[in-house]
Amino acid sequence: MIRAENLRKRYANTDALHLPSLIIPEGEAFGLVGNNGAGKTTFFSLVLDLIVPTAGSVCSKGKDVRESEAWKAYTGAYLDERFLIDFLTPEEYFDFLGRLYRMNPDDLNGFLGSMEEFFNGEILGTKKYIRELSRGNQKKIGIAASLVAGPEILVLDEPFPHLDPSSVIRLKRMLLDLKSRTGTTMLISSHDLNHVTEICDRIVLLEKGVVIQDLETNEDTLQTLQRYFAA
Amino acid sequence: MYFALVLTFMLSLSYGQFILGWESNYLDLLISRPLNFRSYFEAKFFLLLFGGIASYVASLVLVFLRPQFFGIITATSLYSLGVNSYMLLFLSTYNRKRMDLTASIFGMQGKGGIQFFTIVPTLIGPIVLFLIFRTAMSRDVALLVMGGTGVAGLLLHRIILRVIIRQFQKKRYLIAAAFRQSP
Repeated sequence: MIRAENLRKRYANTDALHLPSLIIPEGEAFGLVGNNGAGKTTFFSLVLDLIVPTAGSVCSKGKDVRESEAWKAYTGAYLDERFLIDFLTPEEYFDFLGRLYRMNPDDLNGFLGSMEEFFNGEILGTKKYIRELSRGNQKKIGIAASLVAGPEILVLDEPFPHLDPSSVIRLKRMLLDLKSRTGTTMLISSHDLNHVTEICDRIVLLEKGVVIQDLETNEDTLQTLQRYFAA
Repeated sequence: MYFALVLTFMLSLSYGQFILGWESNYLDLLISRPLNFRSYFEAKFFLLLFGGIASYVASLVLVFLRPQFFGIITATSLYSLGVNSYMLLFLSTYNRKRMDLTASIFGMQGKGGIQFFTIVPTLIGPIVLFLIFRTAMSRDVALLVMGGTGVAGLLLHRIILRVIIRQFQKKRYLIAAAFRQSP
């Protein structure tokens, strides 16, 4: 589904990311872990065509994301608050997204209804602008926005911080449900090793832009990762 | 002449010089979603046209009081619509200043070199054009040339917008990277 070929991003003569070959098959829940500066966000930004690779390419369904725009219709992403329009209310923001995907209003309302538990009554109908909401609630809006059109590929950068414990549990349940129900391909980065190992089938550990380990998730994965980061 | 230009173009200029900057806080969203940038630039173009036409209608009050200004105001207005609108859109691809929409409208907020530079082609350009034709031929010819250029620009909008969009696609990484920096 996603294939990074000889992908390289350099900033000021150091490799921020160097992936000779990384393939994420359809339906995989792919976790990315690593300390700050490991290249997680850089990788996601390259997948979303937000930055130019120094060399190599990222292909989505076999098409280079720089040359084709087809991936935009089936990819949902939330990296940071730059994916929100903060002077809109949540309703206006979702309405805008619904129009981008040419969704009919009933489908959009159905979708927002399915998010009600996750929103916990703090998002819709509050008559507040997104910029006036707490960081946790802003994050919920962003995550919901990435799911709005039923994406085949979901890209989430650090979805768990700022969320309260109930929301974290609901989000995990939502992602696991999505995985089993629709087979959505997921790319999720996290500093929280527990959360990623719970959700992802495969975990790639990055350090200084290079893949250190590429693990199939099993009961030992969490320990392996913890041992690595403790060292 | 300068007065007519200010009258018919200032509204569009005050919005247009910051184009792309208005969206600077969420350009990443727009780039990664199925938003057609053709419709983005078309929408901005029509907005600028609307601003220009509204200014023209407003300045007709002046024409009513001083009919001798009709020619110059009409010619300048057409030039603003058919040339300066594109100029603003084209120059917007050189905009590298993020704009904080919650901050005060005064001061240097969201302004960079490009906003000063915008004034040269959009305000000084038509004046120079006008003066050249007026001295070489006559005032009427100069007005016809300006109005004609504007009409030609409006008629060619498909082609010109295509050039602007291609330019944006080429520069989009630079623009997006600059907007990610704090202001």
